[in-house]
Amino acid sequence: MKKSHAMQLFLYNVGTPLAQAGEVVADFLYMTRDVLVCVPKALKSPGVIVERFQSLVISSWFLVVITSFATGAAMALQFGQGMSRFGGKLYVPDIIAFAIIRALGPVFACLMVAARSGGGVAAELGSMKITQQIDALRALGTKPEEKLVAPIVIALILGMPFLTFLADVAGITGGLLVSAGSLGIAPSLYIEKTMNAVPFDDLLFSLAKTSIFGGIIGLIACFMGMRTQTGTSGIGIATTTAIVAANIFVLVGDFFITKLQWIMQW
Amino acid sequence: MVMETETVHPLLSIRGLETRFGSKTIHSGLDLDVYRGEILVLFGGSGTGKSTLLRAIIGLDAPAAGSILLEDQDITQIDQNAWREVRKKVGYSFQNGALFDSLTVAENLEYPLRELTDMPLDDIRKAREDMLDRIGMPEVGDLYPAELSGGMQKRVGMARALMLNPALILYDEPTAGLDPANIKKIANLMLDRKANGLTGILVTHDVPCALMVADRIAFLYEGKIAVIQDRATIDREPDERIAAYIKGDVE
Repeated sequence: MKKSHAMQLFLYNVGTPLAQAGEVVADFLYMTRDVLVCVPKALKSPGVIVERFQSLVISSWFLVVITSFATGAAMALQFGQGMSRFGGKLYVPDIIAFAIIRALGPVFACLMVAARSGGGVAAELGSMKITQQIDALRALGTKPEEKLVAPIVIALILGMPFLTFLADVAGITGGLLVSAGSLGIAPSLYIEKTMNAVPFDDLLFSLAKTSIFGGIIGLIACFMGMRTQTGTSGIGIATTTAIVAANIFVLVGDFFITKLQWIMQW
Repeated sequence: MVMETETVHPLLSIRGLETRFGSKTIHSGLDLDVYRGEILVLFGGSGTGKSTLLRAIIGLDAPAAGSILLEDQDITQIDQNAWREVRKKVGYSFQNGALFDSLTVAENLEYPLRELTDMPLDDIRKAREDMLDRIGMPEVGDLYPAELSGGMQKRVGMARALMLNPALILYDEPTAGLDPANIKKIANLMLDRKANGLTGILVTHDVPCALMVADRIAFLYEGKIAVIQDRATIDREPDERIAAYIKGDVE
């Protein structure tokens, strides 16, 4: 009897959070479906999308550039020092180009956007939720998925490749400046090696995957914002959860996409 | 304007309504009729589900069981497209106005007309100016909600709910936290709309305001409408629960 009770308690304690998590995932998928259905209508209001593009994408460019630039510069220093011992410093441009374009540029751009724009979106929608503005949209016969979520998702889908390209250029530039200044690699040689290191298809692939990441960052941020519970602390929780969930998604998603790329020999 | 005879057809008829939040039951077998042109006030202790009832009527929360007939159409059984039409007939005045803070007052008022009608832009602007005049705030069109006082936000929120000339308006604590002057303005606005034939359901804890505008008062208790009395009966021989609420003996 005691064993049976312990088993029931165990199943309850394990099953309840699992059921709740399943409910959250189901709600997220329902919202995603509703947003996809609304996309054609949302595209009829390009002004709103442009406004979101400005506030979520264009306004993030400096953050993305400075982060990627610093990473490229730091990589050049680290790899330059380490590889000089083996006479391999001329491989620094190849390594930096490969790492930045295939992995770090897209990931850093997405992480920065998830933190800055995703957090902002979650806070904005969370604030609208607790002040009943989202209810008001529904009560006035309009869908928040169409009016609020779809323009955000579209702006991020369109904008992430642009930011990623900036991140790639900034990272390689950071590497170039350090390589030229500290490692004595001629800029022309650096550029030539960079151009030869990564095929153009790789660049296109890395830009395309950030479109997907951008869309999902937008969906996660909106979902968390619209689930905000009453109270100002609810906004903080929604914002933090949105940033953490989006960051985890970007990092884990990038691993799986890279693995897929590896398997498919893209 | 009291219509409690069974021969008068109700505008809104709720039968056997059941609503839940998770495992908690809010309403259980709730029945209510609301007649054209009246203001029905809903009294009840905190947490008895007054606002939840309004949310069920406007479709923000789906009931677990029961029917809500608006002009004989069961709105618990309709799809999203049909809801769009229903929301032209039912206005919702939110507790704190719920104005869209990224839009000006004028844009807030124009929003329902732009979204739900094919009205020409000039007519929309005219309707907005008329509404601002009607609520006695002709000068605030270009301001943002954050630049208005709480009372002004509530009046604009109520005005937005009236823009589509609905058949029914749901007032969710429109006077909560307001000073007497603003309460009077809001009550007068409700009476003005009632004089024009608008039906209303008012959820409030503000007894003087309720007594000023009510045609009937319903008392919500343990998930059901425990009693409904018209204004004259309340003055003459109020039900003990309504009397206790008016005296402040119900939390």
